[in-house]
Amino acid sequence: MNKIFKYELRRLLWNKFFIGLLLINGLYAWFVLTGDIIAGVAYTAPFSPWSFGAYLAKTMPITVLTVLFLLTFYYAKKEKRVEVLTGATPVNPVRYSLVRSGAIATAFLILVALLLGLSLYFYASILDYWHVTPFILPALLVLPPCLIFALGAGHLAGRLHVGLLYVLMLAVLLVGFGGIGGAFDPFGGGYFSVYPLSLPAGADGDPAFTLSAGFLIARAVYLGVGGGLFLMGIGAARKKATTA
Amino acid sequence: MKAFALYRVELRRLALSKFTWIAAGLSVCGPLFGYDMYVPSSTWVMTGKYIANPVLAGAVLWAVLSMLESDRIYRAKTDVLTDAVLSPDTLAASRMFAVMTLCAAVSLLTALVYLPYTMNKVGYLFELGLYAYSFLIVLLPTWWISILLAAALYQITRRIELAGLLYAVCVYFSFSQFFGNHYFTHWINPIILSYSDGFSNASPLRITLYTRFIWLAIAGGAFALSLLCMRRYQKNLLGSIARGVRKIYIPITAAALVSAGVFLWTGQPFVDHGPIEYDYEYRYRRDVGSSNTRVSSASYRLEPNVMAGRLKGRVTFDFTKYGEGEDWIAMNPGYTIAKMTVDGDDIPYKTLIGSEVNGERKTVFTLPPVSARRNLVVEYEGFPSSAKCFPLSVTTEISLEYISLINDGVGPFSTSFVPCASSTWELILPSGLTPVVDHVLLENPEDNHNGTKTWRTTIYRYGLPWILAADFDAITFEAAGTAVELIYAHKYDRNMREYGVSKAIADVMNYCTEHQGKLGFAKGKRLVMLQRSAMFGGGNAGDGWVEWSEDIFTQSNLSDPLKGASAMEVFAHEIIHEWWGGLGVVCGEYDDPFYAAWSDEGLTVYTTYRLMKEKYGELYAAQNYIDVWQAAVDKQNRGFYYRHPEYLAKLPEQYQAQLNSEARETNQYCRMPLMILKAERLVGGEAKFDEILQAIHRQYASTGQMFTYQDFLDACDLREEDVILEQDFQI
Amino acid sequence: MKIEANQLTMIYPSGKKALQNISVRMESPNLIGILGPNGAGKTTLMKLLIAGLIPTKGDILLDGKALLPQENRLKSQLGYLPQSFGLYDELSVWQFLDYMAALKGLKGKKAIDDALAVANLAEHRKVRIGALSGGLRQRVGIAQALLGNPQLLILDEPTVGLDPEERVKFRNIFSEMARDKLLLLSTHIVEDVQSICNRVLIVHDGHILFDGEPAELIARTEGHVGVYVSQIGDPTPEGCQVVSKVNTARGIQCRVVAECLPGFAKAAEPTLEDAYLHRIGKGADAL
Repeated sequence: MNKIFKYELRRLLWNKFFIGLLLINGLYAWFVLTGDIIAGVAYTAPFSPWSFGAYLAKTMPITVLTVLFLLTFYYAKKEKRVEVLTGATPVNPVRYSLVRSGAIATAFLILVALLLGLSLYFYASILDYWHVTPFILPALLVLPPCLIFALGAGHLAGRLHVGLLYVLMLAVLLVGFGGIGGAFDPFGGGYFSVYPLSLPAGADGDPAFTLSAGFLIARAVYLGVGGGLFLMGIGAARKKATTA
Repeated sequence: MKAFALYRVELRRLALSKFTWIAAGLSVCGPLFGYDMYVPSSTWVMTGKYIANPVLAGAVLWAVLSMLESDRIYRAKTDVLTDAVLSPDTLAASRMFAVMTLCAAVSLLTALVYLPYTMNKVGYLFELGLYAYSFLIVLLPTWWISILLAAALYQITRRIELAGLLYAVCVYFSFSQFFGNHYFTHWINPIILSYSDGFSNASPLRITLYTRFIWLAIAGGAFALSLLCMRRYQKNLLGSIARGVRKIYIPITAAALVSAGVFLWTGQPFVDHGPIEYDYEYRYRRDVGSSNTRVSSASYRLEPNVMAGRLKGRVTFDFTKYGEGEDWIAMNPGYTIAKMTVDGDDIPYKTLIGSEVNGERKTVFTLPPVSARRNLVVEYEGFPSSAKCFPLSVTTEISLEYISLINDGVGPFSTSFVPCASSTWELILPSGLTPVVDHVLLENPEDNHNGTKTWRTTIYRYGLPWILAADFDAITFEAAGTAVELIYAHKYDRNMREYGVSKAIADVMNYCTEHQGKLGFAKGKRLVMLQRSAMFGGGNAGDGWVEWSEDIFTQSNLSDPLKGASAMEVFAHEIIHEWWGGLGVVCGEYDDPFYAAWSDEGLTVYTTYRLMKEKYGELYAAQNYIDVWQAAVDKQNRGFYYRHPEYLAKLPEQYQAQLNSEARETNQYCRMPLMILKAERLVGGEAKFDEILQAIHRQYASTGQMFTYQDFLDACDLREEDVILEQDFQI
Repeated sequence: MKIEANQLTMIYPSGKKALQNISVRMESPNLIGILGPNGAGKTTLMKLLIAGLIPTKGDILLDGKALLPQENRLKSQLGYLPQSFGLYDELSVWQFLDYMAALKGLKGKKAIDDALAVANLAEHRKVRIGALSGGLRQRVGIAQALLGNPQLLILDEPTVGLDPEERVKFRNIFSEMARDKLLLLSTHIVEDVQSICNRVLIVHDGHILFDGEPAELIARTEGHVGVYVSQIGDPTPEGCQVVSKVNTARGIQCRVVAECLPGFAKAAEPTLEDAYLHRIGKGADAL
């Protein structure tokens, strides 16, 4: 399976689309940093965990769109034509599907590495801020639920109909840029930029990074539902191999 | 011919496509969003509300069709068949022309659909020309740009989803503040901050037309470039380009169009190339230099070309010069000097290209030292530009219906000269325009019998006058024992009379006179109130005059003063400036004139609050004034860079400028009124405070002496720390 | 290896009856040609045999046991070339075969090198698949089917798009492989079947019209093939199907297949193509 993983990575990442998408992600992240985050969210420092969380939350829609876009590779008509060959091999469809998801997750991690790298460069070069630890918790709260939910919902949508993936992309755009706000904001942008306003200021003037139970539950729900959808998608992979 | 035949059948195919009709239907619905959801243009003016915004909203909604249409031919795999008949680039170009034709038809349909409703809503202010121009200049070219770009992206990537994503990036670029809030980056959402009901809309239409040309050229170039990327001979992108460039006319067309776009962009005449931040200290740097030249008289002759928006001018200075030294004049960077002579002989001069600051540019020369009076003539011509530090403000316009020449937009001036205290002016204007020079409505023109009239006047002060010309009307009435002359656009005559504007003005003046003292005019014993185009925005006041943007006098505003609280505030605010600032008490600090919270605005805003409190009650005033100030101050106090100024210094210059400007505004318009309110409470209430203000007014008004913050504290018998706002200060 | 299909019926969700109650038994070594017009049910039969579809009725046995529970066993011994398939254009020929080998659980490079050699693709091993011609892509398809020397090869129209030389070469390769393997070859090209298959199945409208040796099919057509000379404008005699027309000096020489030849036609030696057309012409009613 290592070989399959290697080839899947190569197919996904070593092409002009991914490089273009990487560029788009990077450019957008830089706009967000220099356009929004530089002011700091909810009157906190631009390098507060709140601002950093908002940065990740604002860039996630584009990153999730990229992941969904990569998923279309696996559900495109062209891919279906190759499936008549791969479907006749003895490979375990569940493991095969997992390996492919692993390749997409790797693509996500590369994108995230770019986003993190850009933000650290931004903080260091413009604001002379060199710490990393305050960013770990917001990153953990934003990134895994986004990835798992995108993979889960994307796989399921793709298996039902590739057109649904585009509908999902549209939904991501609407939710990501229209915003739901509150604790249940899927990307957390509305939460990070509003919740700290209700908190008392700490010693340095910024409210401490304490999160509400609602938000933590919401993150867990997204992670859980995403995981569930992912398992359903994998289950559908097994079924597909034996029906018309 | 084959291409034309293809254009015809493509057009028919599009017309028969169900999707085309859905897209056309959606596009016709686009302007609906402009009534409420997408309102970038001022909604105070009727034409802005019912024409500008719907058209701008409609312009944004269109792109998917051309992408899907490009995609369709490949999805159906018909390229195998069509490529055998015609080259793919000819096919793509024919299809694009067909889609563009369809766009024109849909825009016409859209214009017709909204016409009856718009005519009904805008009423007697409706003009068919403006309506048609709005669709022709704003909507249709934007649709064209959009489909050219979308098709180009599709043809380059050949992936509809990727092209869609890239298109979204381009849209983001257009909307993003990151690229600077100026006209030229807005390819899909042209900036029209305001239309004008009563004056002219030439400025926004001219600049929008210009930006449309820029982006049509760039998008057309991108489309031509994308024709090179059409996949052929089963080759990839690069292979196809390598084949495509052999049709040399395609890369040449692409390069020509893109170069035209770039040339238009860099050579645009609307905004100068000065620094993006206003340089408050430039004046002091500029004015260092020779003052050996003494000017005894200056006469200007201005001849605007209203069709081209250009000004041709000539100024004659009678001078003497008592020593050596370089002289200079400065004027709007849009003007170029055609000739400079001394007693009829040309003299050398050098215009310092690239030296634009605050919307002016210097030209240097050396006048000969002479004791007898000589005469310097400067002839100049050009299209007046806006300063880059205020790129969106339209203070200067030359058009058939409106002329506005402010500051150095009028012509050259120099502080290297010892100036004369008066100047004569000769204006040659179209017959329909009446000029107002330095807030005086001119009279008795000379008819040139060629559709123009010559107006002459003399102004008795140093520097350049403000010149406005439009189809002005004037009414004169008395308020608080003072004669008031209200000058406004003829189109507003009905509003002015129906809504009793003169009474509203009298109310404000009576209040201020009663509570803060009587105005003493420096000249003429008359207060001139002048209406200006909505593009001017807000208000302004000076010695014996007040200016307002027209939107304060619009039907929707005048018929509901409560609804129009903010506009009515401006209205009252600007009159009150006559007591605090204009010709009353001038507040400021000598040592820190740029960033001080203490200025005329504090007392003016405070007085406006008092007036509104008397008019609409305590609750209304608290909600609309005190709460608003407090919220702004709270926001400023909490702001990270306010708490940590050490980080502010690390930010890029543009961002620092923005934060400083925001801070200055909050300080002047919110923090200081709140501190004045605190002072009012500390001295014992409104009645006592009014007595203090009246005493200040008596002492300082019309004396020209600056009223400092310390003077204010002394008058109230308070110390600085008494009125400072604590974090938890609440009223 | 032995595959048995018993009373198979396949009805698609759209209601289309692709196969109706067919039974067939195949065992290695054997090279079976499946002939039939478009839409006859050939591809459906193949998909059923590779466990790509579940039959509506009937069952398929692999070595005497139900096929579906042994799906993995079947696939580990299967080489499959569908009629229409896609390839990863972004990979090279070698990389693609390496990918497919990994999916088949094959280790080492030998299997890939062997397949490349058999498909005569060695010199194209580093070429990106996207840059290959139609014929070369077909050969990549065959090469992936041959990976790992499978015991069962199911090939749907394998020689489509190949030049005559390559076609002959592959025919011989298939023939050699059939010495110890089971090969199923679906095709429209009767000549391919005639030259290499030791057994032929004729499928039409979801039924098997014939199952036997090609020689037997030809023998059954004796007396039903004839030639005659006609002139321009002459109608085709009733009940005759014209197989070929050749312009000659005397007129148009027509070769016809008919249940009952007209009196003026002279009997001719039947070919497999004549036999196939004759059998198809009789339809399922003659079963």
